[in-house]
Amino acid sequence: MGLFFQQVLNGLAVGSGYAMFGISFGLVFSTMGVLSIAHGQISVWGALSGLYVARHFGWSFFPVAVCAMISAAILAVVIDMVAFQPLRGKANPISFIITSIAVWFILLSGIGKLLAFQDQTFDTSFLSFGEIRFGTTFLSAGQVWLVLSSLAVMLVVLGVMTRTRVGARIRAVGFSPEFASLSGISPIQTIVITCLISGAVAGLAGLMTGIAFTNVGTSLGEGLLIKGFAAVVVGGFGDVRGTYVGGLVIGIAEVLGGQYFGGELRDASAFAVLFLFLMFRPSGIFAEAKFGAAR
Amino acid sequence: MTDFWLTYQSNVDLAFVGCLFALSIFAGLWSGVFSVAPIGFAAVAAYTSVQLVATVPWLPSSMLPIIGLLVGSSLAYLSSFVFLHLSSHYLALSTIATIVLVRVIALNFDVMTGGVVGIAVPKFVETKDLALILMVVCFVFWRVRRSRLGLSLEAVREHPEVASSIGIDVDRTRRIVFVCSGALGGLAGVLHSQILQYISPDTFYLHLAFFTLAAVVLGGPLHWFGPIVGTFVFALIPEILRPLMGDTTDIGYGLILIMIMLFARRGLVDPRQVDRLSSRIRNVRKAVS
Repeated sequence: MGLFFQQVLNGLAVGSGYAMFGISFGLVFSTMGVLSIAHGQISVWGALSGLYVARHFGWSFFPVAVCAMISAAILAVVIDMVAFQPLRGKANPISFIITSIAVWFILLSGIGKLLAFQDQTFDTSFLSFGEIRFGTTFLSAGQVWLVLSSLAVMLVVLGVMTRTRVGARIRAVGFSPEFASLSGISPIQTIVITCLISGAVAGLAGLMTGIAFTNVGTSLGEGLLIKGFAAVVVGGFGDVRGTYVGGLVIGIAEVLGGQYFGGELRDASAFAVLFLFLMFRPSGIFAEAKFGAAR
Repeated sequence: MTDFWLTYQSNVDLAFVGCLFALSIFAGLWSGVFSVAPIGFAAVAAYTSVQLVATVPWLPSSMLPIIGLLVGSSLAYLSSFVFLHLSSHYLALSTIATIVLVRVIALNFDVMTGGVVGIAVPKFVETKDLALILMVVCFVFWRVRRSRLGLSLEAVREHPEVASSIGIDVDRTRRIVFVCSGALGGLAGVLHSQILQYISPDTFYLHLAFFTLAAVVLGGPLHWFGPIVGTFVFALIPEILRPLMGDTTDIGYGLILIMIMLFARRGLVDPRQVDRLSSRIRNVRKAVS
């Protein structure tokens, strides 16, 4: 039984990363209708910037996290302005996917070059404690921070989206850019704000996943992208709480699948959950339980 | 001349198979379905063909491409019941997830696939076979474009609602094309594995899918000749870029792709111009005779 709880905790940690990424991914998708293949590499970029400042300046955890978020947010805005903004209103959805693939090429190759084309170890000695124990089960400091930051991100994004003017503007633009601009909201300004939020969250997701598994590489981005998408599908896109739960479900399914069906089926069990949902409930778990107005 | 041929033969072979991959993805786009699933089906077909060669020694090697077609089309038929219900974004990412899933399976079922090390593939095809297969496939695309099916495909792509209002069965049309694109993917997978004489889980991965897609977009996603032009242009690009950019050639691909999407979304081969050109040729012929 101890093993089971240990694996559920591990699953929660893994899933928190997917949940955080899924929130960021879903925010871009529901506000701007852009499903960006390159989004996973924004996370890797965040993790890479965090790794860089931690290694070269020896900063402690919080400045590293802030730095990762800022640099990922800037990258997200740049990508949007260069690759997506010129297409808005002119092209069909497929065009956005194709430009995001172009950005994926550039980021994958550029970040790969910066990482010297190999995975780098993330030295996590700057975290203030080693691990937390609950009886026989334990979570490492990196995993604890991952779970906590994911929960915090979910609550903050939820609060921003439902309780603030900025959130209302983001939702209005997501509903219809034309109507939003009729009521005095600048769509482009709102899109930049959305990119900043979603980029920062993606960067944090990459950094925290990198810290929790003490490893940063470009493959991190693909894992986050596909599993984060799975989180959005399982949770039903449109509400951050749904995505959060979806991410945890995927993470736990992945770890428990690896434990009980053999390690080789670890990833396969996460995909099994994704495809079962796509087949039988593509609108997600919470499709009918509408959580307020947060789109 | 023979030296030249020896140096570039493998590039030409790869370009021919690249055309088949490009046409398989184009087939989906023709009906407005963005799917990279054919690359995943290609992997399954390639591994199947390798295992068949090993276990059934009397199997004639000319059967292998047909087995690729069968594997690809049956996988596409089965998965079409999942994929074709999804909206365009979900569909795109689910097919990408399919490729990742196939890789995970290939990595872990190492009895069949050789795992991460990969597996050697005996080569049976020659360049002239590839050229013949490509010509047959092109002939099919040429005939389809001028048929009722081709017309309804374009209607479904441009406006599914209007298409169904004039009596086109949108689901059925999309399913036909999806199965054909899967069949082409399976065929291309078998041929690709034979040219490389080796496959590993990374052979049919996102890189191949996205490169193929980029070639389709460069050539023009509106006419079947576009993917072929795009593939050959894409085969030349690394020869030009590699001396300039070294191991970051992919950045060049990405920049080219963004430029195309921003400034020339119809690609190199634009059907409007193709049709204008062919009618002009017809007029000239008429005037001569």
